[in-house]
Amino acid sequence: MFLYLQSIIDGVLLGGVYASIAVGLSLAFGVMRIINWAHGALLMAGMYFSYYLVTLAGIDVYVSAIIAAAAMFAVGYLLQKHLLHRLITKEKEREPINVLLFTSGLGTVITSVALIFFGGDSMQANTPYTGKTILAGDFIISQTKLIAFIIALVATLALYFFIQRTETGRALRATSQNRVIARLMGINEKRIYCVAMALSLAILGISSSLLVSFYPVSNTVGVLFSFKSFIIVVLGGKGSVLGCLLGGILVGIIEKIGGTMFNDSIAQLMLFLLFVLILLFKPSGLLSKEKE
Amino acid sequence: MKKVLSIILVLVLFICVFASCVPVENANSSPSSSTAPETSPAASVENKNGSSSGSSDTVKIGIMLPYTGSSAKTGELMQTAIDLYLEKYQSNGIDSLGGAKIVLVKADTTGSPEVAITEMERLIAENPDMVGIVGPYQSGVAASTVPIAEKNSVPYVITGATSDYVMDDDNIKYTFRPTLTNSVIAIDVVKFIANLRTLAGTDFAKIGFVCEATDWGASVRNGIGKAVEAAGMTVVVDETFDTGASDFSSSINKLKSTGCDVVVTAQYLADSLLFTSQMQEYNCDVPILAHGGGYLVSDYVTSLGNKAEYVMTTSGFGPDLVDQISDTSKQLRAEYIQRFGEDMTEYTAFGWTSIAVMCDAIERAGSQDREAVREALAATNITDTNHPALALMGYKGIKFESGDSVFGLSNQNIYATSVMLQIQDGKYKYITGAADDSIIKFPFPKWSER
Repeated sequence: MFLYLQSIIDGVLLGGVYASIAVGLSLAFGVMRIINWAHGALLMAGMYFSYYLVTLAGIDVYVSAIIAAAAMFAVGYLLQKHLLHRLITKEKEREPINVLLFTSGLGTVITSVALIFFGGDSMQANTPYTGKTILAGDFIISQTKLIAFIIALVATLALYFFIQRTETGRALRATSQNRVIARLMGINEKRIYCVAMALSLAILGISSSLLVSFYPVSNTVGVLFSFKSFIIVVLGGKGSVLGCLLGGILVGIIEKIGGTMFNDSIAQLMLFLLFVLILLFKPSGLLSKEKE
Repeated sequence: MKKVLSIILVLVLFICVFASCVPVENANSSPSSSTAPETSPAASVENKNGSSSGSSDTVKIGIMLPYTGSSAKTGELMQTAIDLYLEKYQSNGIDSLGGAKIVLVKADTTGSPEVAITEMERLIAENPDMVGIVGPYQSGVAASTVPIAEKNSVPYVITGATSDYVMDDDNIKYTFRPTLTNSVIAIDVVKFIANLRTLAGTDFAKIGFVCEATDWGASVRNGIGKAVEAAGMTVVVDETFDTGASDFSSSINKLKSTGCDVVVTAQYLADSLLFTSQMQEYNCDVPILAHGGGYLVSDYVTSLGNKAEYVMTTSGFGPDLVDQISDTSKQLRAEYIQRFGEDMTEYTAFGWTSIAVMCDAIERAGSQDREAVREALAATNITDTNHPALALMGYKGIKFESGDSVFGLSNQNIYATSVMLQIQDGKYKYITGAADDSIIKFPFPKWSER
């Protein structure tokens, strides 16, 4: 029983971080109908950025999260404004297939460039927080994962309130519901898209720094997390921030309970089974009230 | 302004695409590559599509290694060792062929079995005068290319692939493995655990496995698992995971709760870093006995620092063992460290030994005929420790046998053994058979006491 309770603690903490990675993907999909295949590669780029901020510039890993968020915000804004938007407008009212192909290519390019510049080996940043734990009775709570969970939770909730309560957020929601009518209502679609992509990557920048505090950096790191992000987005409902949070935590718990009950390989299999079942029986996600 | 920015962005993307096409061996900026000679003076190197017709004053050897992909660093270390051997011992060419110079024809396996098959077929088709092939790295790649070498009757000396199944075929005639196989490691691991039991003075009988889920992990789990069970020990934790795991807490909690005495791991670098970090995080004091992999990559120690201390690992090679082989070996290692700015690794020794065995066979064959080279390889019997082929491995000799003496495998070196290493003060120390704590640190301090 103890092992299972410990697994739930580990799963919830890890799930929070998964959620913060997935929420950017969900936002881009919800607002722009863009499946950003470069999401994992951009996470990897953010992790290298934070890793070097921490190891070379000696910046605290949590301060690096703010810098990474700002840098990734700018990258997202420019990427959308100068490259993606061009493709979206050409696609007119259809689903942006070219954008999907473009982000897939972009992801490969980023991964290849990282291999050339940083090599194929993994690197672990040793921060003052790495390896520290908090004891709660017999339970062990990883300090880095707890901090990561709290920051991820705050960032995700902040994004949720931004979308719900601000004028820009309302415009984001309106565009996600119907981009044609939103445009007719005077919303600057191009600007909204840029903001959505910038926010999507800014929160990814935060997640990448959080990961650096406990996870090794390598050029292939994005693959693992982007796969999980897709599961979370499907689970939580495409475009739903709170759904993402719930989905992330659920994935974390399933992974850890599955790992304790069987082993890690079977736990991954359980996740993919869940992914298939949700797509088959509740494709709009767990929190969605839509009729299937 | 917008247009200019767009053009710049597109240009950057183009540069990135072109950059990704640059071969890693030239683009990589790791310490060893920056100081490594571009080509060995002893051997001229042809391009992938090189079309020089072989003549009697040259001897063509194919080299198949991962020059790009996630194992590029390993391929680079092996190639550096091959170049170094040729520079040191073959600068005058093959004596029995009138000093014919060795020419290397390279093919990039990229670490993928599918790519390796195509590349080997291309290498053989384009180079009818090639006497043999040296390579590859990774058991999966070796297993997929051995049938191609056999079908085309090309002598093939395996560089770095330890799984038994690579040589587990009675029809193998042209392929030879001078280095160790996993069954040897399994036997050595059981002996070593018995040694740990004596040192610990306790009943040391609960073994755990945390192995990745491909062929390598399965062969480690099956090979060592059977050997420890036959020796009366119990496997209490048997965990598999997909390479690139995001978390090991479930496995570590199981190791703790079962009172496991030692955990055997088969993990690549990223997983070994995470696993060791989390062992410390969760205060899990179960000693790690790694089956090489990520634990032997120098980045493991540099990334983890103190956390890597006391970790034990099997290896085909011990850096400080080299100094004990002969004065020449000791000098060679010192020169290597000075020249490349880092110590030799198992991969250096793998590359060195395989090319040395191939060159030795060509020398004895006195012919460029593949059949003659195959016969010379089959007749290999090196026992003089001053022979260059034994300069780095510390084996008693190199002699290929098939059948029961080598676990039912074919053309396997009967003398190939494994060694045990322990990380002490950031260095890999040779601890095989160590009986006191002047050599092996065991039992070692708990995480809470470090």
